[in-house]
Amino acid sequence: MQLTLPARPENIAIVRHALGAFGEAFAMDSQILSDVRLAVTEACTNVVVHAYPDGSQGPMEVFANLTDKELHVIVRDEGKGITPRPDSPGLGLGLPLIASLAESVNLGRDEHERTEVQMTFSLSNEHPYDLQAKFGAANGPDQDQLLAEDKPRHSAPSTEP
Amino acid sequence: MTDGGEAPETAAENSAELRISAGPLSAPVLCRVVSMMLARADCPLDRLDDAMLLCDALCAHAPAHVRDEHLALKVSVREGRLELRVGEMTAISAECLVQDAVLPEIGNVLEHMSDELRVDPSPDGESAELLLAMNLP
Repeated sequence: MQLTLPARPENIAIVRHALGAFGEAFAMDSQILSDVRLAVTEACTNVVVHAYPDGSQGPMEVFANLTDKELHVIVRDEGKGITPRPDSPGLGLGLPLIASLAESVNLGRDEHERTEVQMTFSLSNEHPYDLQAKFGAANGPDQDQLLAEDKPRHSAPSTEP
Repeated sequence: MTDGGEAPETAAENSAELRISAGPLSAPVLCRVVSMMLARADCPLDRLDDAMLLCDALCAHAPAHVRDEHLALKVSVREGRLELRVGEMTAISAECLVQDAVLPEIGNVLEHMSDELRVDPSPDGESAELLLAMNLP
């Protein structure tokens, strides 16, 4: 999937919805899809905020390709490139957030000198806070399983004579 | 938007280019993109629903007629009009796509749902664009 839009704030939501449809069509795990959408939202926000300064306009391109085990997403723009910006209006957390959500991140330029952020997401369900994988239940852990995990290890006194 | 060229001036006017594998993925993605753009343009719900039907019909019939198993679309919302331009086709395949959308006792769905439908051949005649347009109230 390749989607090109003007780099404007309202179009970030379009990218997020398109990725949602993309992930749902392939029955992607909802937790992974949330991570993908958040990371791509951050990358697109960077394009809108930083790529075209001084009110100039330009495109924002999102490319997504799904393989058996990974999802590759590239966010491209034709802006000035990724450079330190002391007067940045943001908190500077975008790229670290992307790096923590994605399996790998590459920043650079493509053969047409467009700035690009390449992100790879693993489609496996092994995730540090994935309760479903931890408990092995098809629809996540039920209440009894969660309570059993929280029970103290000592055994309760027997009431039998 | 093409190659970062002309940019729409207001939030209600927007454009997008979408290239997607022609198959089960195309309809959900196109519908989301078009619905977001129409919502931004304050399109009434009934007309938005018509646009979804048009997108669904297009995506249902396109796979048999596109090159490289990809659907290339330009979507624009401006001046009270939604335009869908399907590219990377030949004039014959564009005509066939339209003819395929005929349903028994209903007629041609694409013609019914759109206010304008035409095939625009390129100057060299080697390719064509199928234009589907809807007027928005």
